[in-house]
Parts: sequence; C-alpha cells; structure tokens
Amino acid sequence: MTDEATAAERAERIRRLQERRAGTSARTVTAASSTARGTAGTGTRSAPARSAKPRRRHPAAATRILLAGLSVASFLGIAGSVALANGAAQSASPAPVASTPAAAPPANATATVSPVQAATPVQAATPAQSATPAKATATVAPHAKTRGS
Amino acid sequence: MGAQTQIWWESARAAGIVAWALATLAVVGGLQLSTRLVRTPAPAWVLDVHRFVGGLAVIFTLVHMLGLLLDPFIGYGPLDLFVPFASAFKPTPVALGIVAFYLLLAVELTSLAMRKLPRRVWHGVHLSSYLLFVLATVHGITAGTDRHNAAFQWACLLASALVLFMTLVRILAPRRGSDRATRDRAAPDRASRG
Repeated sequence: MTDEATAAERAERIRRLQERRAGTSARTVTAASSTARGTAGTGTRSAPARSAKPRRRHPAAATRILLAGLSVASFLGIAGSVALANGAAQSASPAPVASTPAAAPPANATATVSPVQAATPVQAATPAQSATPAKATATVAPHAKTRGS
Repeated sequence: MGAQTQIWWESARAAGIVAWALATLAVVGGLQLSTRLVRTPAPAWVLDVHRFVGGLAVIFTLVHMLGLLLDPFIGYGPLDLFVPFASAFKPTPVALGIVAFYLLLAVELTSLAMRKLPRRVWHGVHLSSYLLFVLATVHGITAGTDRHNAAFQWACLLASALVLFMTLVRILAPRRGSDRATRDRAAPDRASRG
C-alpha cells in the first residue's frame, strides 16, 4: 500500500517535471521560431542572428532627448514670454513719457516743474532699467559708453 | 527699438535662466551620485544624465553670452564678456558671472579629460562646482533683469535649499567607502565566530 502510494507520488512528480520541461522547451521553441521569422522577414536569412538584432540603445538616451527638448522648450518659452511682456509694457505705457525727456517745458510752466518730475528721465536711465530694452530709450546717457563698444 | 534688436536681449535672458537651471540640475545630479539619497535611479543612469546636463549648461551659457554680444543696446564687446570688472554695467555682478563661466568651463573640460588626469586634480576642480553654483545664483539675483520675477525668486530659493540640504547630507552622512571598510573588517570576525 505504501509502496503504491510512493510510486504514485513519484509518478506524479515525474509527470509534473516533464510538463514543466515541456512548457519551457515550448517557450524556447516559440522564441526561436519567432526569431527565425523575424530574420526571414527582414530578408537577411544568411546573416548571423546577432546582426539581425537591433542595436542596443543607451539606457539614458530617452532621458537625454527629453532633457534637451525640455531645455530648448524652456528657452523658447521664457524668451517668448519676455517678448510678450515687453510688448504689453510698450503698448501700455504712454509714448510721450519715453520720447520727451529733454523737451523744454513752456516758459510759464518752468516754475511748476518739480525736481521729481525733472528727474524722471534720469531715473529711467539707471543701469538696472537701462538693461531692459523695453524700458530703455535712445537718449539714455549713463550707458552710452558701453553701447558703443 | 525694433523687435529684431530685442530678440538677442530676450535670447540672452532666457538662455541665462536655462543655463542656471541646467547647472543646478547638474550639481544636484552630482550630489545624488555621491550621496545616493534617492535609491531608485541607477547610478549609471544618473551619471550619464549628470554629464549630459553639464554639457547642455555650457551650451546655453554660450548662447547667453552670444545674445549679450549681439544685442545692439547693451553693446557688450568680447572684453566685457571675458574680463571681470571690464563691464561698465554692474561690474561686480557681471564679474561673478564671468568667473562662474570659467569655473563651468574648467569643470566640463576636466571631466572630458578625466581619464587622462590624476583623480585628485579632477576631484579638486570638480569640487569648485559648489562655488560655481553660488556664483551663478548670485549673478542671476544681482545682475539679472528677471530678479524681481516671483517664479525666478522661488526657483532660486528652492534650488539653493536643495543643494544646501544635499551638501549637508554629503558632509554629515557616513561615506559608503567607510561603510564597506567597516563591513570588511567585521566579516572575518563573524566568520571566526562561526
């Protein structure tokens, strides 16, 4: 009785092993046949199998492309938004403020011009603001030295 | 002032910001390599990205300088771009940017020639990237036209905090090499105990 049980167990174990091996070999056969089909499909039947394999890409190749694209997109985005902001600032600001810093006031109004009003063009010509082309005018004096170089 | 003349100025501003962001990313990548603060990305992948981002930072810095050179209003010449304190406009902040550019160039060139250089030399030059990050950030805050922009200010703050945190981890955390040495020393003891 026990011998029969052990024999049955052994047979069952052998059957499972054979099934597992068969499954593994079936997968191997499937993979091999698919590789062969791929090789035949490309028309390089005589070439060795490793030459038919696609060249292995670098692990970080996709990240490189992504980073380069993101950098260029950020560059264009920032430049575009700066240009838009400059355009909006130029359209919003009244033109005479920028174009009449040296305009002589009327004779009867000279006494009413306060120092603050008179200093407005000078304030607009400070280096920090003169570095922004949108705010800069052609008559900015302090930066004239570097403009010519 | 025409739109064409402003293109160079806007390009210079945008390229400067992008170059700073890329340099920050490269510094963070290098610190990640040395601290292994985050486990998930493989070190080889981080190293590759770190190198690539460093190269991109150099390219965008050159675009930044080219924009300044070609902008007709600011009127920078080669002397203003390459010699510290030669610029009449904000000499000190611009000089910080010039020194940061030279450091970036030194770090990049020594990294390219890493295999031909003694490791101590390469490492010494590479450590100057901390100074490079500080100089570039201060240059952006003091000389940049976008320094009043809230997004730029927040970016500077967050990037500085991240770099500072990772640097502290790098300094204070036990080194991996010493861990390995400790393990190696402990292994024979365990083996002898059986």
